Amino acid sequence: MSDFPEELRALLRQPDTAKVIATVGREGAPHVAARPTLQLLANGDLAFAEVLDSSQLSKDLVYALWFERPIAIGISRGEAAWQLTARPWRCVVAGPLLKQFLLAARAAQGPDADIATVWVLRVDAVRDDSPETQRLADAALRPNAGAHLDRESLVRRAVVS
Amino acid sequence: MPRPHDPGPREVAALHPQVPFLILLKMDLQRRGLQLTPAALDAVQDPLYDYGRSYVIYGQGEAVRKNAPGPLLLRDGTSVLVLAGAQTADPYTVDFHDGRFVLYDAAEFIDEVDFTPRPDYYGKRTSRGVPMETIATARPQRLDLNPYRFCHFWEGGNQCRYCAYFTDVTATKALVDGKFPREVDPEDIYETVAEALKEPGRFSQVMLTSGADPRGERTFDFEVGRQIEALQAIGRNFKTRRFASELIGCAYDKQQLQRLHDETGLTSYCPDIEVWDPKLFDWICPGKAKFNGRDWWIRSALEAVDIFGPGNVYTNAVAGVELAQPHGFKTLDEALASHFEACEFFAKHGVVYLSLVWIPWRGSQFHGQKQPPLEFYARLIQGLRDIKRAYGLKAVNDDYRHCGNHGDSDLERID
Repeated sequence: MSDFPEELRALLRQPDTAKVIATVGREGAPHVAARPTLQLLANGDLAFAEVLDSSQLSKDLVYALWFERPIAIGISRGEAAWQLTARPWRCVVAGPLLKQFLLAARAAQGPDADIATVWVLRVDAVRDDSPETQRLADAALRPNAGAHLDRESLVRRAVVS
Repeated sequence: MPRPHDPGPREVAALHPQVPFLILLKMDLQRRGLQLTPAALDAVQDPLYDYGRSYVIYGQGEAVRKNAPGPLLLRDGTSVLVLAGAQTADPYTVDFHDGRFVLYDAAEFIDEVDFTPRPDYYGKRTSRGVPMETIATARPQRLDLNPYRFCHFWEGGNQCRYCAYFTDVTATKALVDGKFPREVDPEDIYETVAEALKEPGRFSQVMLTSGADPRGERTFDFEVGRQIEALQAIGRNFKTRRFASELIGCAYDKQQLQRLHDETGLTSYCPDIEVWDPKLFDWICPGKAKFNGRDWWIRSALEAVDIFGPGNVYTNAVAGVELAQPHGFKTLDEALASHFEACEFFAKHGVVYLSLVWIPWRGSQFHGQKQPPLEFYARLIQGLRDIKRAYGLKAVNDDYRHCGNHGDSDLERID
């Protein structure tokens, strides 16, 4: 279980945060799916509602759980971005957690809304993936490398009279 | 004396890397059963898990008289109906510590597990005072009903030789104040289903099965009439003509099947062939052989496809029982070849052939027989899955969420 910075916790609570899950299935094909219901549980796991067992994401998560393959999760909003590495930990088919997500879906979409399962994901690593954090990290590692020399903060422009 | 080495799920998974450990674990749990430690037994008394008094006592038989949990859940969401009472000499063990259930094989930690939460209707009674959990039992997403709790094949010793159903009626009666008649009142069925459907997201399928009753003008007419009454009672709970449902029944003729289709909301039908080989069918299933023989049971499944549609008719095989002695196959390869031949035959006709793990139950004629090794089941489920996939068949009714008993349909989850 990984530590969740407060900024990431706050992002996960925001309804307009982009939450995507990247998987690789049995045939090796990569797949990315947005899952807005992704949320942090009290024990540090993540969970989201899946509508269909037949979705590519469901199949890939079963594959990852069975054969111990990692998955990636991207969380972003504006300039803030986080990258998580996780494992599908549990596929919930009945009980309080399923009921909680189902009732939330019905409150949001109406009484005919339905879900098949709730997936619980166990997070192994959390990384700040925002452009600014990456730039600062890169600058600290390679202070004079890579950036274009014509940037405003570097170049001294000759004053033409 | 040390028991002979019996390769477990990890060893078999190493030999068959296409079969996931969790499916092998499930099948091995079915083979060997499980027992609960006192801590785990205490933990399942929690209202979240407490399925009430049961004739199935997990753990140490008479020494344990506590309420039982529902089906065991593995992390991939599949359930395991392990009727404990330790059917074998080396069952798995479920313990409870640090607020979670954990599975052990002797001293080896295997995995975190859970139990199916108790449905809300358990503990309630119908207007006639019948405990609803005696009318319908709950799997994780399936409501199981037995409209008729007696199998007439047992009369004259014609029951299937591996069967121990309906041998526990006395114990069951004692636990429900004697309110355990053979025939269930359709009104009790109606009320129980209505109550069960009040719980959000708890059920997505209804399954009916009963003891065989060949009586009637045409064979099984009594049974068919009873199933229709039960299905109509269930159907009164729905606005739609059809509702997700499965009937595991005897082999009915076309007219009876048409009645089931036309007069009820039934969506799928499953006459179980149990054993494919003709001679072994007659030996192992004498009741089915008597009423009306293997060809009749096969024809019923095929004719049902014309009525319910391809992929909506199933048939189960009790995998491993064809190796029972003295008349069964002598080699695993012969047994596997028989299953694959059966699966191919049924698949060609749109019938989904599924395998179940054979357990030589106490109370069955085959108690004490030797089960095939776990590797047999690994080879079996891969072969069955490959055949069905080639024919575009998938077990949408008998999948991990609804039945949970079939390793071959589990494999389809990633197809």
